[in-house]
Amino acid sequence: MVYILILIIGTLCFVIVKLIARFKISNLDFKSRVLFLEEIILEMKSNLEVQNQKVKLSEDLRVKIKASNATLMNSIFNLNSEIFAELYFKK
Amino acid sequence: MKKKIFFLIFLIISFSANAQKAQDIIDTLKKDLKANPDAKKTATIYSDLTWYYSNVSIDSALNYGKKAIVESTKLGDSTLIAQVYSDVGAVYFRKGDYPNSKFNYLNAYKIRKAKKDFVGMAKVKANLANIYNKEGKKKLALKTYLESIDYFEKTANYEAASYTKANVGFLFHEIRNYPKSMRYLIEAISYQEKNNLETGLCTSYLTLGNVYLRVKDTLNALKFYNKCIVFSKKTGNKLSLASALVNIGGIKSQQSKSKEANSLLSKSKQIRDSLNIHNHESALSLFVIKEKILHSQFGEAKNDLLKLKKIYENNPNEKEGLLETYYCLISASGYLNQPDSVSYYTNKSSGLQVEILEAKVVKQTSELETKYQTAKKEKLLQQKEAEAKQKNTLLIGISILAFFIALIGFLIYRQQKLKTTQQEKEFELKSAISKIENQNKLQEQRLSISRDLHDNIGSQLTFIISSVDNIKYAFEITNEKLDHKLSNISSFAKETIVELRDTIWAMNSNEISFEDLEIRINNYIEKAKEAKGQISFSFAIDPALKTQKLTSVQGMNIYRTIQEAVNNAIKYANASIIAINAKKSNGQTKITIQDNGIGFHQDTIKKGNGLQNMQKRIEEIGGKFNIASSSEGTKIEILL
Repeated sequence: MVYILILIIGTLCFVIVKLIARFKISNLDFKSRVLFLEEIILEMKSNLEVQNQKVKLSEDLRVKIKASNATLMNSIFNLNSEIFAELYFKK
Repeated sequence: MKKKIFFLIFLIISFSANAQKAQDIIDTLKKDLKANPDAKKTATIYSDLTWYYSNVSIDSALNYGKKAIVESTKLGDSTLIAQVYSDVGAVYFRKGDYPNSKFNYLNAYKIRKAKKDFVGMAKVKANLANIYNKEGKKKLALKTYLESIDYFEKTANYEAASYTKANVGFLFHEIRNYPKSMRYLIEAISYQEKNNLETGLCTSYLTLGNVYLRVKDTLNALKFYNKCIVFSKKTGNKLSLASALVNIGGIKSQQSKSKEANSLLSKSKQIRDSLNIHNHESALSLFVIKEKILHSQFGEAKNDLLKLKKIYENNPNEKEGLLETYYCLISASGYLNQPDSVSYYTNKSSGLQVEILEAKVVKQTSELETKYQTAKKEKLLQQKEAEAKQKNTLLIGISILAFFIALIGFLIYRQQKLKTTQQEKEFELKSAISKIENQNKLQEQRLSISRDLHDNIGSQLTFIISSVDNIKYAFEITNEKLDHKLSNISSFAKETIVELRDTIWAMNSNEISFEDLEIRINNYIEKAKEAKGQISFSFAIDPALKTQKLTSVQGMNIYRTIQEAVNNAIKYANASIIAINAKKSNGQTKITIQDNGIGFHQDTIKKGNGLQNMQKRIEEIGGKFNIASSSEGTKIEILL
């Protein structure tokens, strides 16, 4: 009986050691995975930042082009008026 | 017969501590008593008289003992009462009255126990052990003796220990374990000789003499008996003296020295008579009768033997003495020519012999049975102990097992919990990645759309420029106003295209270095030179800055600010020199655009869109924008 008990206790000791080791390994594995994912996130964030800056530049350009468009339209309208006026006087 | 003699010995073993002659002390005490002392002193004197009389006269000792009890009880002095009870117990012991002795010792023990007098308790215990020994409770006696010795030795009371060892020696002598008896007695004698404890020595010598007599070493026996006689006389211990004399008498009788034997035996009888001890008269008588047979006084011897026979027959414990008496009667009847008597006593002796033998057999059988039963019980006890031990081991094992199982449960639970937490965290991170990825895609799509749009706008602007230029050259426009308007549209469209290209350049690069910026600014300066040939441009970049990277917005904002500053200098300052300089200073990047133009008054001139835009752009990228203007020119400083 005592020998069986010692055997069971020994087995349980082994299981405990195994569980503790597995716990440690799993922890380490998880840490490395998290580190990898964090690195990916950082990289993606920096990419996003670059994209955002590009979008911002694009937005600025859009505003500028809008203004240029208005100016250009105005100039072309004036030019047309001038042309029409001249053609009318020539007639 | 010898057993009878040994029986005398234990009577004289006591804890008397006075080496002075008992009678002298008694006389002194009596004198003190006549002087009418106070109650306490009287009680003490009675107590001392009890003790000292115990070696001289038992009856007197008991008489004074009773008086001592009465006086000490009146006084209520518990220490004295306990002492008196002990003394009276000792006197009764010497008298051979063991029940009374035990009663008195137990009274003394109770009082000493109540007073927590451990030394006194140990001494009473040693005396009680003497009684147990007498009562035949040898084991209990030995246990009690050894406990007392242990206590005495622990408290360094070696004197009391030596007396108790002598008693243990006597006990072993009684159970015929002579080697052990000798060992204890020699130990006791060695201490008593060193410390000159004469009272103890006379009893220890006597017992050792008896042990030697039992092992047939008559010479040593005589040597120690003689020593005992010397010390008994010195200390006035009549009891020891009487015992030593009777034992020497026995030896002399065996050596056929009848005269000497008779003399010694009669001396011993006298002493015993004076002490009022009669319980061993029979032992002495048998010696005397044997002497009478040896001296052919057969008739007288037979009469004495018949008297002695009656005494022995009344005492069932004296069978060996009775047998000895029968042998003497056979011998005496034979000499008196009384064959019937010879035959009768022969039959009687044979019967008694058988009876003694049977008793011995019964005793031995019962001893064997006891031994067997004890062994059986011990075995059972051992079995039970082993079972209990096994149960304990099992219980401990099961406890450890339960603990381990609980630990495993806890570890598994912890692992599962950790796994869940890890999964949750991983999921969060993956969600974040997916979110960022979506945002990235969205921005990418936006950029793609805006790129398409820019391309479209670019081509449309180019179409406008080429259309305007075609109109100008194909229709030979004479109207200056119209011509100017066309030129304005063309140059505005060109400017817009340049701006579009600059932005696309910035958007196509993830990061812009100062080197890229340098090329771009140089292009711009070249174009400016073409337009304003009289202006001298200089542009210098610190080589350490060339590799420094800027984000597209930073690069674009710096480029636009420099462009605006140069533009302002060309347009409004009427400058002949424009210098652009970029360098590293105190860990910061410093860009200066300086001209030697007419400058402007900072207080009076309101900041236009150009200046405001420049400041806004630099502050947007976290830099500082400074402008300083005088009649000697304007200096714009950008700090990043």
